[in-house]
Amino acid sequence: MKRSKRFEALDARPVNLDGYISEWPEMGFVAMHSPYDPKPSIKISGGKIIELDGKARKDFDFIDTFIADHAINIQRAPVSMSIPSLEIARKIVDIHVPRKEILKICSGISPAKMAEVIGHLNVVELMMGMQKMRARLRPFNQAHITNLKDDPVQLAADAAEGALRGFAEEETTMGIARYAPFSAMAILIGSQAGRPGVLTQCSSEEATELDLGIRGLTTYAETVSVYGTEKVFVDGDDTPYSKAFLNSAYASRGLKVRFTSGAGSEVLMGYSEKKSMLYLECRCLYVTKGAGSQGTQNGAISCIAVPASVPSGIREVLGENLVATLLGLECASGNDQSFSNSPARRTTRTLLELMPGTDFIFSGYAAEPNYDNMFAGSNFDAEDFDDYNVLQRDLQVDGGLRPVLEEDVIAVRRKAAKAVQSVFRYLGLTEITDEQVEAVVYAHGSKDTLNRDVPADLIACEDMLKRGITGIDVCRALAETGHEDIAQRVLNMLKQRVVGDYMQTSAVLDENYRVLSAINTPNTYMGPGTGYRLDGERWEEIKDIPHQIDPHNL
Amino acid sequence: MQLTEDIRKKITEAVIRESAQLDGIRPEEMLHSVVDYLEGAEPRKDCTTAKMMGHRGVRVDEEIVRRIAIAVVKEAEQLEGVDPEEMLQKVVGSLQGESITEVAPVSNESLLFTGRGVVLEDEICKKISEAVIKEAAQLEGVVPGEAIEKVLTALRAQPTREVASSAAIREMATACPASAKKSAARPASMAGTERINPTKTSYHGYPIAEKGTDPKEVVIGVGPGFQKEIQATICGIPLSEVIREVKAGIEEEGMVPRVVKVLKTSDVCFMGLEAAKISGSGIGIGLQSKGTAVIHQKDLYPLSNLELFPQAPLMNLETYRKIGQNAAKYAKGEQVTPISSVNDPMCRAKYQVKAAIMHIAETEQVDPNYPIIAWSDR
Repeated sequence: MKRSKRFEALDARPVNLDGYISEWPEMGFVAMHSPYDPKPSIKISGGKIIELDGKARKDFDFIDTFIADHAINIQRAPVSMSIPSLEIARKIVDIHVPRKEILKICSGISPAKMAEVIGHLNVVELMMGMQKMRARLRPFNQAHITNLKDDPVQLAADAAEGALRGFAEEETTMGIARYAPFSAMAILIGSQAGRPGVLTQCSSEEATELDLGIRGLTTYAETVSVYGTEKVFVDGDDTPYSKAFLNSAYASRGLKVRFTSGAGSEVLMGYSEKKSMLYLECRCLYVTKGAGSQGTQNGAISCIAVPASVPSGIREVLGENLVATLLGLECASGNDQSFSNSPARRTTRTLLELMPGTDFIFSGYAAEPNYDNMFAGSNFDAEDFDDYNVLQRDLQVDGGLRPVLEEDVIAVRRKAAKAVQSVFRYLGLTEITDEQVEAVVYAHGSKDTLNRDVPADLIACEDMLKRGITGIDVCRALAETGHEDIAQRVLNMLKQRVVGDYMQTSAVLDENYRVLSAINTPNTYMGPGTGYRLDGERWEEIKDIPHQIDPHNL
Repeated sequence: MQLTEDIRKKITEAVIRESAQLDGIRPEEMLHSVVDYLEGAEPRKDCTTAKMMGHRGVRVDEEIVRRIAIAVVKEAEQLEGVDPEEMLQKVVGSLQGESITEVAPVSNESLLFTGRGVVLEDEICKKISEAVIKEAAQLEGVVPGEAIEKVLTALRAQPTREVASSAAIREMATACPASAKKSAARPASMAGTERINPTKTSYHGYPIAEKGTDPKEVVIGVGPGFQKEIQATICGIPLSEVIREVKAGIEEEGMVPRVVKVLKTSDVCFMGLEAAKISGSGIGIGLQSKGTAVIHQKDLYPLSNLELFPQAPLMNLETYRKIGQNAAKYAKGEQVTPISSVNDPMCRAKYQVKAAIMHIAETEQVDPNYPIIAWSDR
């Protein structure tokens, strides 16, 4: 066949570099509904659920048992299950039905019924649902703070800049896992140098992450992953019960936690049991709720290219975000992983959460260039900061970020880098030179910084753990080296753990350490004129982008 | 051999049926190629079939040739005593299936370019291979492993192997899931199929791997589908070469490699930990068939590790060798500089679905009855 030039041009478009596959339910490549998904049902006897979604109790796997015993309101179930799914779907988009009533209904429905409800909603209706069901009144945003060299100085500077740009939470991870103690400490210091009250976490192996949390080097945890089939749980050496126990371990030390799940993980692990991604994610979210977690990071997360490869996959991703909110969970709604070469596709995917607003639009916006993003790339990165600010301004929506001045950014980067340098010296860790601090202050990414002595860093990391260094030691080091303001802020973050208010659903801290959560600032949306409206000071802040035409200067 | 009408018709049908299943193959061209082959004729120079890689069913179009050419010239320019022009000619000639008459093997064991005395040492081969893999991985319809074979064969002036039977083509296509779709032809739906490979390989009778006692030992635990259902990594590097490099890396550091196949799990961290637990030194390497790798130590948490290489599409043979070296250094108790992280933020968009399918093919072979067996790689 002689090739058409038009088709050759089309074939070369970025969108055709993405991976697509036709629906294949037997392998789990199906987004919203698989012919093998169960029919909804709940039967109760003797105060116990004896049948769930067509399966008798004796045939339950451990996920069914956990959900039946811990995630469904038995008093509510008979009534909720009798309401047709279509009617529940309609109530979700009906502005006259308040969020609280929807939560009550959904507390008594089964996972298969939940999937059925979502199946009735088109993508705009899903957004309408999200606008009403999001837990917290005001949406916020979370950043990824990472770099290819695991350089703690750059982590601190990027965390400070990210905090200044408006991120309410910051998450780090490592190329080399053993850098975890340095990374956790660096973004703790950096975030507080940028804006008091920003929460930080260090995504690492679970036991390490818990250890860092207990030491006060992080202020929340997110990498508590749950899965929709038993086999995947087992492959991860886990059960819903062990996750619930881990959740309690964090809670006992006053740390905020959210779980992680999302479409595609079971497919990628090879154990989807022929079920749709949405149904499996419903199971995950019921496990999350049953384990007592206040919230979830979901929206396919690191498996996003799997739902994105099948029809209606991106709709499913918003659908599963909505399920989280229907169960009353905080939702950090993904957008945290690259999935497409097409700018149109990746922007559209993010608009689904940006426009209605979620608790955290991104569960990791790369606040560094994507080549430095050690979560293997986010959907938006540092080079998109201005695009994102303009999108907020174009649509008058609050995506959690704000325009900033170059001089302010340079100042907080320096403040953070110098603080980390002092703390390293005070604690007798590896050397950080003035040269490195200078390079990092003005850097865009790790291509602009100096290399570290990796073996020496790793010895110091191990030493830091052995010596039992905690958040208090960091505080002391900051205070003793002339960084009293940051020391005070780190101390205030440690105090939060004693107060514990920020463990409530969907909590963030403002710059005065005031908790904004679904308890004291719940979403009150009930149609036009209600709920969160972007106006006043915050709107002025978003309006004021650089690169505007100055009529005096034509 | 002259073909009767009847035979012709049957072959025609079979060829069209077969080639319609294959990515990047046009049925009518395949038909010409097969008929020519059966009739003993020279391949037609006038149709693009002549540009098929050794008539093995992979069409090399101008764009592919151009990009590989650029890669080769770039590499050749770095090498002393190699004339980029000449090298290019050989490579393109080979890719287009032309005979290579002007190049012949000269002296003893070493492989030389005629008249130029350029020895294709391992180092040069390695560098060219890497350049070709890098290019080929970007190209639709090209299996990197095959492209390397072609290129090196051409450079070493060995005659190209000609295979034209549909069975061979099919085998090739199924063995290399990395071979990507070129034209807009839609693949047949898999809906209704419950497995990727219809039958599960039984390892009944294979010796269960024992716990080693040699403190110099580093155990490599490969995935359930390794060198059986899957022959090349996600970016097309043959697994035989991967395992050779890892072992060479271990040996270079004076330690002793042992290969086992982990059948109880297909999770790379658990595979690595299982390998570490039976390793005399307590250091193990987990190696999935799609190319993901981990260096593990027997007393670490399963999902922790010494070094993890999560992005299989970014791996090359040099990295696999370094993994072997570093694992050996951990086993010796040295302070080790971890291999620098690499990152491609667009990897997921391009490879995650392929990764899922390869992992499913691997996971299908998980067999808890034979948790970990001795494995002699080939």
